[in-house]
Amino acid sequence: MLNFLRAIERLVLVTIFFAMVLLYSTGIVTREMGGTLAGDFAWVDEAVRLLNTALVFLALGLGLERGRHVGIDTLNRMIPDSLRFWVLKLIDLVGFLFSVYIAWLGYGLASFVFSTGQRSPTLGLETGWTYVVPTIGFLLLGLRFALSLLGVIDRDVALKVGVEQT
Amino acid sequence: MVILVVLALALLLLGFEMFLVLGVTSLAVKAIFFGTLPDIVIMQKVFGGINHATLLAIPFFILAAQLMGAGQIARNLINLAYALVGHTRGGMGHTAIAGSVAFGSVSGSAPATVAAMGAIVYPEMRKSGFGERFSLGLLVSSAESALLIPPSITLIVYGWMTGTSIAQLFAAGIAVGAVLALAFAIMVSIQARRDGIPAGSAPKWRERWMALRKAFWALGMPVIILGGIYSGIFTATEAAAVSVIYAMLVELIVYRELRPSDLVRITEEAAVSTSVVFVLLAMGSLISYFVTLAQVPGTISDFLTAVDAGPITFLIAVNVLFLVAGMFIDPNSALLILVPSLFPIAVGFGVDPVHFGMIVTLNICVGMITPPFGLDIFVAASTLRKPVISVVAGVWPFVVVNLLVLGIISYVPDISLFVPRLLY
Repeated sequence: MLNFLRAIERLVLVTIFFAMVLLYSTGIVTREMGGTLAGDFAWVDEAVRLLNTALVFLALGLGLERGRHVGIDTLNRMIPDSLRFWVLKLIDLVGFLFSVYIAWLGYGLASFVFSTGQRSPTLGLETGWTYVVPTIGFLLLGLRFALSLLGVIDRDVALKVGVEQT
Repeated sequence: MVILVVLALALLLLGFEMFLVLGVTSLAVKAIFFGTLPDIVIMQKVFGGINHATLLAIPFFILAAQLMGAGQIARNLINLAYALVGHTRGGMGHTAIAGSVAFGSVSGSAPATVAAMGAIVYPEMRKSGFGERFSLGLLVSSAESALLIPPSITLIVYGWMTGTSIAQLFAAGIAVGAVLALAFAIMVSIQARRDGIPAGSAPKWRERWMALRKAFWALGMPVIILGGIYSGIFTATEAAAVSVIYAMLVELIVYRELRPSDLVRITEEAAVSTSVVFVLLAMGSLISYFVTLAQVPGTISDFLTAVDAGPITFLIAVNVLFLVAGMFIDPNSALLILVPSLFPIAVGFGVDPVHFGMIVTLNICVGMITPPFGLDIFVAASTLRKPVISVVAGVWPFVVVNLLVLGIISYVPDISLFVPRLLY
């Protein structure tokens, strides 16, 4: 199940990134060509900005699982193993609560904006959708913290690998 | 407020991820001091903090850098550096500096430069006669040029936060990066004489020509980035997008180093790297909001006025503050926490925003290589499998030189402003 989720996340991230590059480059080309064509592609800037926020939030969980988020663990590694185990669990617990709280705020904001019927200026997209993506992103992050808390994934190993890959 | 600083430091030292340190501290500040503020503001700041067109340059430059690092472009630039300066006295040291500048000019990331250059250049430096400590120190320190040389991610973030022209910051970064590289080159020459490292035989012009030919497409990258921006064809963000297309085409079609399957893997990695940078920006935006609400910049400004501090005292205070912060937190976090408070005061004292950007970035350079928490020290130790203590011992002389350069740049604004004035 977790492997399936990872595969979906990877597919979505790569598709979003390629779409960003393609759309932004097309926007530049149409602008250089000038005329009415440039006006027809005015939505590109907004679309790429939104895709970028989606890319950022949807990659949060994968980043955590791979030990890629920046942190200072020099002192943490000096703590005796028995105590360190509980410190890591504390980090997972706080991370989980934080992620779920932010996701809950995201849900509240999305619901509120949907109720106003507000739409984005150039894409005409319901603005509420823009807050749905971070909500999903923080839920994915919270899921990783929860899995680490329950010992399903080992973030400690990922952190060591992450340092070597930095 | 003291309790919150202690909370943030405790979370940091316990090993919490930096975005959690910033995020949890922000929530605590809101709960304690701004309880009446609607919770919805938090999400607005987190989302709004990264929903800016200027910041789009970052994911594109990250992707371009990872494509070039995995392919041939970066390697060909380093080979060209060797062909040009490798034969001089202490040539491998000069190659390390020139290679770091070249790799930094396509990657924008100091840790990435340390990792890439270290594996290639360190064994060669040792073979050429340089000691372990000096080699480690030089590799770690010269990689800091990536924070100054365009397309520096640190400069993009600073420009976005302060509304300073990124093109002008890039222009200033070229000059300041060159001064830093020159200072390290002088150190290399002195050390080479001390160690009795002779000059090598100069490569034949044919060999240089071959290296230049191989690096032809690689050299196109800085031309696109800088040429495009300063000729007015592209904005910084557009140059970043074009650099991705260029890197893909060169690596896939010209060098044929990467396959389409590699492209997918690299893009996925770049997406995660982008997320890592942006979640810090999002949380930094949140904490900056509360710092502003708490009127921290005004309080500092009032204090400086009360003690009758002038611009020079202010810049000394800035340097000390950033040096201490840079030892504990990564560059983007230091920027996000300190710049919102210090920038308005700097402008109030008449410090040019571009000049201030250079001072801030140079401070971060020092922080990145300063114990106990300088990130690049650990990247070098991990990449080269050397004890952290050896890297720290090697880095100290370079920290001193870096501080000297910082002093010069701080009090001679013309060095930072010369190139931007020339171009604008």
